[in-house]
Amino acid sequence: MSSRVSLVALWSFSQLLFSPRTLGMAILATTPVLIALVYRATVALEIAAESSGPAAFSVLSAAVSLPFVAPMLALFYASGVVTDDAEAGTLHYFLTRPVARRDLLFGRMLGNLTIVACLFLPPFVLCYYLTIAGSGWQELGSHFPTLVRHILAASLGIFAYSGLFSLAGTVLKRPLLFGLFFVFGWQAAASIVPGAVRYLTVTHYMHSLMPHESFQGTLAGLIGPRSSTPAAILALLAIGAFTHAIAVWVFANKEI
Amino acid sequence: MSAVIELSGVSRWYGSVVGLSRVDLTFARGVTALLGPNGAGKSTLLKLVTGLLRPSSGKVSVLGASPFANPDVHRKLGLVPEEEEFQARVNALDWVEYLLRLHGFDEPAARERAHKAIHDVGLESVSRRRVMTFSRGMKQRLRIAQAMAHDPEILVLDEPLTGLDPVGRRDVIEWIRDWGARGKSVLVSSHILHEVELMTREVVLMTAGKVMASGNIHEIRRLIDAHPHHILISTPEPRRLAAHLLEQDGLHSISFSEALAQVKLETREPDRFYELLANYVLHLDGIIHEVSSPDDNLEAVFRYLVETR
Amino acid sequence: MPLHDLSYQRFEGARTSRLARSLAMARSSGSLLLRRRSFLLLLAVSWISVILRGAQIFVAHSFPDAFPFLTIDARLWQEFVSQQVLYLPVILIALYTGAGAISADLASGAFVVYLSKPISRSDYVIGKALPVVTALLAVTLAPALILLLVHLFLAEDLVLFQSAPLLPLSVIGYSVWTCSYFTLAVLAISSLSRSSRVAGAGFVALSLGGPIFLKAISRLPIFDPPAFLSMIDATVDSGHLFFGDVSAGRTPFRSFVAMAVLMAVSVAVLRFRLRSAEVSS
Repeated sequence: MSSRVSLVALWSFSQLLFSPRTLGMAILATTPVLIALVYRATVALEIAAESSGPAAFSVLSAAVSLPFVAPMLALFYASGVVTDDAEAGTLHYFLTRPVARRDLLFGRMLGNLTIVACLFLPPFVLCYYLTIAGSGWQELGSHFPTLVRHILAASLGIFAYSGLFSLAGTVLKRPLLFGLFFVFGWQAAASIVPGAVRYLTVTHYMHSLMPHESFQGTLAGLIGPRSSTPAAILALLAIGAFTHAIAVWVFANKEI
Repeated sequence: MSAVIELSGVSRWYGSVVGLSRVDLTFARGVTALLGPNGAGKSTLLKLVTGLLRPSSGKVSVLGASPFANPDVHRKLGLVPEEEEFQARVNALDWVEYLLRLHGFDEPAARERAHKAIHDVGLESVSRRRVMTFSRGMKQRLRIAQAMAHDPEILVLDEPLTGLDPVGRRDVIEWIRDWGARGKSVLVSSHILHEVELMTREVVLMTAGKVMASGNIHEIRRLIDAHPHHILISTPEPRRLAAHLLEQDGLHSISFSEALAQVKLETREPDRFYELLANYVLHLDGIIHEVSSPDDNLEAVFRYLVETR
Repeated sequence: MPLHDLSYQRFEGARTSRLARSLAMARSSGSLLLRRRSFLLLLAVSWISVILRGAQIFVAHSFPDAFPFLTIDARLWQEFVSQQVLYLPVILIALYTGAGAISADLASGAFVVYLSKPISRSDYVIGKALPVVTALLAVTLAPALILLLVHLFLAEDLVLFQSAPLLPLSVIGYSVWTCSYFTLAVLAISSLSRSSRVAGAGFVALSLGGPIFLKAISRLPIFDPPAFLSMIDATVDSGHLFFGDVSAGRTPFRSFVAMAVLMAVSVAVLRFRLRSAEVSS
């Protein structure tokens, strides 16, 4: 990786890490942990019946972390890949440095992806621990492949969402609206419509990577065949790579 | 003198609004000032030169290459933007150092240059403070520091005197003159005419996206035939001087005041009349205390050019 | 006297009413909004449900035997307004019109300019709220009343109004309550940031996160989560109160109170932020 890309990525990451915005997003990212803590407490106090730990983790993952927290984090950071600097009034400083525009944008996108991963993964793993540890330490080990599948789905989903929203952030004036419409409008509608429309969403491929029991009791779980694991991985990688590349091309040629 | 920056038949429009219209300009080494009212096209021209915009037609060349998204050009260019701000939580030193790292300097070299630049603009005592706590004048000094830290060949300054106190303005004017004297190509856009005159005599006057005039202020003034020059002479013998001058050709109008001890004349041949005045003193024992031309300045030139449009 | 107390400023001439001052601001913001094609497109998309409901009323009146399940009662209007919240039109329009309403002024310094005029902070907030509320009412109250008129036009009797005489008042009350709720929330969040993008993301997280978290909790199951923990669920639940159908709701009174509390908190946030912003900007 070019040194300029890593320099820009490191700078972006450091600027984002301690900003008040990241604190707000961290609160969002840790909300599933709070729910897991409440679950653990109510089970320990025998206030509520215990659903199995793995099932509880699957619910949190399939109903909260992957469909809401991950896309929200990706949307918030990725959509600001250009607009953050434009709003801060620093864009012209960077555009008049001897750094290729593609390196500038790659570095920003990498910094954003890193912060999203740092915000999402630790609470996600903590949720796994909180929900499953109560069933016994052996359960943690035996359900580890489940965690790996969920992390794989989340990571690739974040990569795909980041590409999509980075492209939106580069092209559109209001990328947030587009992101909302895509995640909560288009994907929600496509997931319950039979046919091939679901292949035009990120959630379909993320769901295909997750264990089937995650979707018991949900509408999305009732409808449509899932893609195979290799196909889902390839599709998410392709969506992410393609949209990131288009975003870089647009930025390299765009007049700011 | 070879051109550092060239604009050939450059036009730029934004939808139906024309920002620049068929501009042909060259900028060599030294300081050149861009002058014009709001909406004249100065910022558009600067953005074209710094590679932030592409021309709608024509060609822009900086050091022989197109500047748009061109790292090779940007390596030798420093921009002091008018409105750009700073990231909220960064301190002045780290900010300049980071921008130097983007120029390819390694960490020790970037740190050293950043220190020097911060020191040169007088921000050393606040170099570790967050930029968001800076006053307008301090922010402007920081903008200049980041532009000059890598010792560029070309400096582009968009309204560099904005927000500065008189001491700051004096410092910036000195820096600009110094850069020009050191052989850099300095392009300055400004509204403050009398301060531009302190920086340079080479100007480009623009209005409504067009170049009205470019070159030395005196030359431009001389070429404005429609408006005669005003010359003001302080003398204890205004009647005698006026009578002498009336005998000469090329006089447009003359008036004198015994009370004010002044002669005012208008002429289209100011150089010839300056010679006449010198002869009057040397050969006719005339007494002249002061000669001034209220027209031989940028504001007069600008006003005449705008009025003639 | 404290600097933020504007009473030391002397303004010559007569002072117009508060409404006139706020309307001046609102008119300016509103006209800017109406010039944006994206906003008009958003409004148009939000009216798709209106067309569908209108078709439902038409079909129910025209083919009552073929579609006996398509009954027209007060619930149709309650569901209509609730679904405008549930299916995003209200959220998206509040986001579009409100997220940048105050944050953009704070970022650009326009807020300080406003304060230099003879308007109070309350005038400012009302002026900012009016376009948001109006836009929200354009996709809730206005179409609901149009649907009522459509029904009146097509119906041969007034059975609906005999069974629900307060229906128009219920529609107006529920719509105004809902629109005020989301308006105050989005403006409060807008005042917390100088970036409309960040404010928008905060509003989305708060409004859309709630139902998602509640659904997860109900699936665990930890306990049956109360509706008032979610902005959207609380709004839908409180609708039962306005339409006199309390038993059909989960906890409509508590939802109503929770909404009132959030509105009070929003007002408090606005007061705090706008008081401190003038000193620091």
